[in-house]
Amino acid sequence: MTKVLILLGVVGGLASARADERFDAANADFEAGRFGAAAQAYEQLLADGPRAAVLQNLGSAYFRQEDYGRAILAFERALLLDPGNPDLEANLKLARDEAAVFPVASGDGWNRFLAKLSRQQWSVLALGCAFALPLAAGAWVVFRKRRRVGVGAAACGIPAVGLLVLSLHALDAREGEEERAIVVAAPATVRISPFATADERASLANGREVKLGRLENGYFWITMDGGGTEGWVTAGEVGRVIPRAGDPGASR
Amino acid sequence: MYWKLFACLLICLGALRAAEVTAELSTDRVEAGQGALLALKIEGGSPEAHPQIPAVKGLIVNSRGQSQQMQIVNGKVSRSISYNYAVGSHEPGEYEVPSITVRVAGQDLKTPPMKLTVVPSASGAPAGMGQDDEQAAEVEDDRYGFLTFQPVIKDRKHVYPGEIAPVRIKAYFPAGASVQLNGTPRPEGSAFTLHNLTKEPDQSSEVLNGKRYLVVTWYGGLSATKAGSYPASFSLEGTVAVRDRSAKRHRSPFDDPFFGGSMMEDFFAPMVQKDVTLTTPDPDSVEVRELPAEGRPEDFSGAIGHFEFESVQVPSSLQTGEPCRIEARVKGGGNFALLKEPHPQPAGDWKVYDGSGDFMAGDAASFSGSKVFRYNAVPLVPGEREVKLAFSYFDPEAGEYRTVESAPSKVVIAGEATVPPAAAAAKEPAVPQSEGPQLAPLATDPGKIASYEPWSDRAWFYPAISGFAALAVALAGMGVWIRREEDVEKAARLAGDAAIRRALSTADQAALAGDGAGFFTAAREALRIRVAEQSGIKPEAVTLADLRQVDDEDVVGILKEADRVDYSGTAGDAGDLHAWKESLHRGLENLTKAVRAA
Repeated sequence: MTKVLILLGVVGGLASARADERFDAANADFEAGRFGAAAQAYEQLLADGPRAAVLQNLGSAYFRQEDYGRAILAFERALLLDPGNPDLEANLKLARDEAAVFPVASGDGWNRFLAKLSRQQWSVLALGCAFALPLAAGAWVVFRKRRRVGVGAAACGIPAVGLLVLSLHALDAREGEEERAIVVAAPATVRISPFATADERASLANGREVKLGRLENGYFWITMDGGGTEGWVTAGEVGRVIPRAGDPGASR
Repeated sequence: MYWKLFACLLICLGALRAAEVTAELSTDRVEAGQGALLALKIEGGSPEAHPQIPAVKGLIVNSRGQSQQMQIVNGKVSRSISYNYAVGSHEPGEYEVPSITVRVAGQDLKTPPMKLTVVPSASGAPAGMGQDDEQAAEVEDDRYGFLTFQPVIKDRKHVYPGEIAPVRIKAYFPAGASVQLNGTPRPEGSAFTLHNLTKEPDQSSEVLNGKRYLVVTWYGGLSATKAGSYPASFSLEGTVAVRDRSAKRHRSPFDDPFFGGSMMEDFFAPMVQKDVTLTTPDPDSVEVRELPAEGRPEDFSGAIGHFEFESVQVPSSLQTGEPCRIEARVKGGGNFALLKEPHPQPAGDWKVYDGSGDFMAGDAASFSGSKVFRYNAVPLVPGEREVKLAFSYFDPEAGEYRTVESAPSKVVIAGEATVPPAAAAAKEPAVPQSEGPQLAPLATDPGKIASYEPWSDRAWFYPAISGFAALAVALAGMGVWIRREEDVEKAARLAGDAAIRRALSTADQAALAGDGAGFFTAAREALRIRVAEQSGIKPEAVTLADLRQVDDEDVVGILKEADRVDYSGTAGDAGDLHAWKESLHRGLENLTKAVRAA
């Protein structure tokens, strides 16, 4: 058993060292101005699994190629993994400015408060509070003879219930986030039906954010500006911010 | 959770009035290159999404717009939404338009499949689909009315993407025509979008070239979506019924010069009804220019128009590091949605937090108005200062960016200077920067592989939450049960008190009845219960020896007398029993006090 663990550790260490080497090589390409090669190398690294740092550099590489849609997408994804990172937020703002994408301030104060934490952070908070509940109840039972401990356990349980409800509400309020997508084509053509000969309805500028609907015939149903623009775009013209395995041809 | 409530509401509404979807082809046979009109009509509900025509190889589907109709007949309101498509093909053959699924109030409604036969074009060469029809319609449309578009921007032939230009759209219909509009004007093509169109258009009467028209006027904001030069044209669909004067001349019985051109002519002329699409004739091209990159202020957020401060409220006394509430009202005209809150200057002396912005429209098209911004800001530098707020916007008339500053507000900021991280970083030696915008430095450590998928998307998440919650409820319930179980002493004490009360009652009744034996039996029982409570044993297990150990004169006396009655078989008289009863109550009271004290 110990040998297996050691072997796994060695394999893991080698893989990590290999990833470091590839990352350094990609960074060297970037520093040398070979942004296309750097972006390709970062994409290959991401095939192993998403990393915030790789996505940040990938976004920068696309930015330098003036592919602002893919840059915005990469920075958005990096922020999912590392919410609140000031470098990522600054890069995202820069990319949006360059793409002339000015997001309208969304929601009221309550929704902005709910957006302070990522969905993963709300999930952790919800699970932590849920875990604390049986602990508090157990302490109340076990230490029933000691009044102070019992009252203390109940005092911990009540805010845990409140935070649990808040977290679940936040997760529910942000239920639609997995439908967010960024236009990576320049521009994307919106059609009235999901096939190439269908009439064009509008064109979407590179970097614009859309909401994805169902997938049909290799086309996504999209809505934008709260329903002001809607129609079908090919899956390759948009990239889902939270990638989904079932998206064919979409930018991953 | 809200969508479930919404779905229930929709289902209830659907139950009240079932929705219907019908699809109809204007003809089942068209020439190649021509199109049949496919009308998809939804009555009694609204589709949850734009209906989609399934793809059919070789079949071309062009949208011909969407319309809404509302009719009030005898007080009963009926509403329908129609989606129109031109359907055809360049290839002759038999086509089937498959069943179209429309989701209304959570229910999938389907239309039956339809057959369309495309025959070879009579001219031999396929024409552009629908072009002939459209050209013919254009000639005929003037008879049924026309559409005009007048931008409020008169001196300018160009706009910018994102800019909202107020426009007035007028639909002219012949006076006396019966008009049913299927929706509102909409821009043709994808270069422009129309915002905030007035829901209740104005109606008036105008005379143009000696002809009287019924005029319907809408106000809205036109916005360009992309740079280039595009014709700004609009279309409006409706059904118009007009008098056919040419037909009258053959049929009117009043074929007399006296009645010529009179009201009677119109009266007897037959009505001709037609579904028409009014368009703006010969629309002017509008140049859409890119926003200049040069001179773009850092705080430019996409606002285009004319804006100025109306009022600013900044507290006069502040403390460094302490947030204060700032309120600014900006008035003007333009795309207020992209106007961000004005920030105090210099920006490095303040830390500003996101706030709220409430827009109040000043006109029907929501082009002009005022927006009130409220946000928190933290002063970082102390001193007496004149604080100005500033914001930037793009002036489309001048074609340049502008930064507006408010009138200075005198503010006293107490406390010590707080250095913000950005300012601290600025003091460090400058690092040579590459060309182009300043991105954050490259990350040098690839970090660990993470997951986009939050725990809440994992299958185990909600069962785990539910499991923990259920466990907590179970533990709490168990705690309540244990606490009740553990309070058996109190329960036993209450039961003992009740038994003593019953024994005393029996003794009192026996005393009144002169039943000495009964009295002493009940009295000994009451004393035995109380002693058992003190000893922690069952009353039946209490022996005479235990009772005699009680150091109370009344109790001992009663026990002795009870023994005597038992052994001698004689009982005292009623007078004696009354005295014994008082002695029993007194002794029991003393015994209870002793037990409680113990």
